[in-house]
Amino acid sequence: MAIVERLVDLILWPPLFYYIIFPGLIFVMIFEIFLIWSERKIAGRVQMRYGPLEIAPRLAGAPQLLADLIRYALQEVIIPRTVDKLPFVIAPIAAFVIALMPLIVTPFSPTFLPVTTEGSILIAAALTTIPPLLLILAGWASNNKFSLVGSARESFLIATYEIIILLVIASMSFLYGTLDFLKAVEVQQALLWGILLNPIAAITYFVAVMMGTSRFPFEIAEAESEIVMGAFTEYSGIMFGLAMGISYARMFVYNIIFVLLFLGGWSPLGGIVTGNYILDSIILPGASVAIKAVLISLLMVFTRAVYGRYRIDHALKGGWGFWFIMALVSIGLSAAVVYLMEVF
Amino acid sequence: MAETTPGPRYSERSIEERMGLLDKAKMHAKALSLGMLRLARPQRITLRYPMERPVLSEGYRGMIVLNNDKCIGCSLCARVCPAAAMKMFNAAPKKLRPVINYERCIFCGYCVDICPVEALYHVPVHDLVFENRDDMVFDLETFTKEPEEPEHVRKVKVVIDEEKGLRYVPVDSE
Ligand code: SF4
Ligand code: SF4
Repeated sequence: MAIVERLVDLILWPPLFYYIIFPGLIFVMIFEIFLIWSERKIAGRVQMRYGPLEIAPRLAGAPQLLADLIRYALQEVIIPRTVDKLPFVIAPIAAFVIALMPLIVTPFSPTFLPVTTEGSILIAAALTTIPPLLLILAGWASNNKFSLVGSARESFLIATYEIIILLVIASMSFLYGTLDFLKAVEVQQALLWGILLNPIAAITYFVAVMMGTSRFPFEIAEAESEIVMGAFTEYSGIMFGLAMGISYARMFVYNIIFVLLFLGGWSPLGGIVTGNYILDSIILPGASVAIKAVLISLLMVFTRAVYGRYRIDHALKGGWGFWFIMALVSIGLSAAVVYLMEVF
Repeated sequence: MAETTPGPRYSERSIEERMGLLDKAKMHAKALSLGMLRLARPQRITLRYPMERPVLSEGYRGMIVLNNDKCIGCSLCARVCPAAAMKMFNAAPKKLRPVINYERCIFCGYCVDICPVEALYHVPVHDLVFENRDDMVFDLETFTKEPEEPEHVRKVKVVIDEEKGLRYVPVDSE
């Protein structure tokens, strides 16, 4: 029995629980499986098909993704002779790990967060900019023309969406007068949700994240049908599974930031007090943040069913010519809101 | 000379007709709301094929079966076959019979059309599976037997629907 208690203690040890279980690796894995399945189901429904159904039709084909995962895990990982081996192997792994790293500063409740810092928004924003660089590295190391085209497209896109995302985050922290997620959520609870305070910033952030995590219609860097998964053409087996998961993991992290900055964080469920510490400080607020993030993610994957793919120059034109200006406008709007708050 | 110089990147007309921001936003909203509508009320037109099959129409050019008693061994079917899929052989002395090679057959139906005694006929089956390519060359015994219907298949009838496009109405197997 002592061993069991020890194990339970170990699992509930906050750092381990945070990094491995919720909202860390295991939760993100389950989230990805659910999201990819629902993406395929939604696309199927909208496009007059069924989507995955053959494995367990009663469960609407839900185990399909598990089957895919098992296949990826059992497949041989082929490392071609012409690739640059070290960066080739490191790039997707590092990209996946770093994609999840912003979670170390994103709070899921006022007490449930591993690192307390004054500049958590800054750290999260900085960490989200690294994985695309590793994507470029993967394509470069692959020594394959499709991968190179994918990497080049990604590098064009980075310059567009990163600036927009950072400007929008800057405008929101300007509005809240803080660089800390905790304070940002406090301001929203006292005042209004960020999406109502600055809707332009919310829409701009939403579109820029779709651009950044290669969702349709900005699925330009991966472009399955033109350049065969872009930077990850040469990957196989579990490495490919990992590479495929990167954009979903990044989307999850971006959406957590979206929830914290625009949707009031743990707002509706976080206020309930039941007296049980774990329920009050982890489960209820954590669930409300996670559910909101999942809903936003579902909205993002829904666009796959509707849109085609933009050409790279169209996407860049839209990014620089419209959304960049919208990001600047959102800063102006934040300034106006701050001014109005000062006045009244 | 004038023809070789590159023209403007967009024709004048398309520049004039470029959409304004409001129109673009409207189009996006339209596309997204149509997607949402389809998500809420799906209009599936695909069929779960091996488990559900449509009832094939009369005169469907499926697999070909020989009625051995009617055949008079005239060889016309083997002659007309454009893919050289029909071959005649001696089933008994002075008794020529055709056999079919489904590796070659293109299901054109000429052999059925030309047969003077209607010894050949189509059956509404088009999806037999063979384990190897030798099995696709039939002998007289297999050629005279109608292929069996697979079990556990839901038969549906295809109906053209004005709203939905295609609709599948289940029919009872008998
Ligand atoms: S259907 Fe056409 S191709 Fe097939 S055996 Fe008859 S004549 Fe030949
Ligand atoms: S055409 Fe008809 S009758 Fe003549 S050989 Fe062929 S099947 Fe027999």
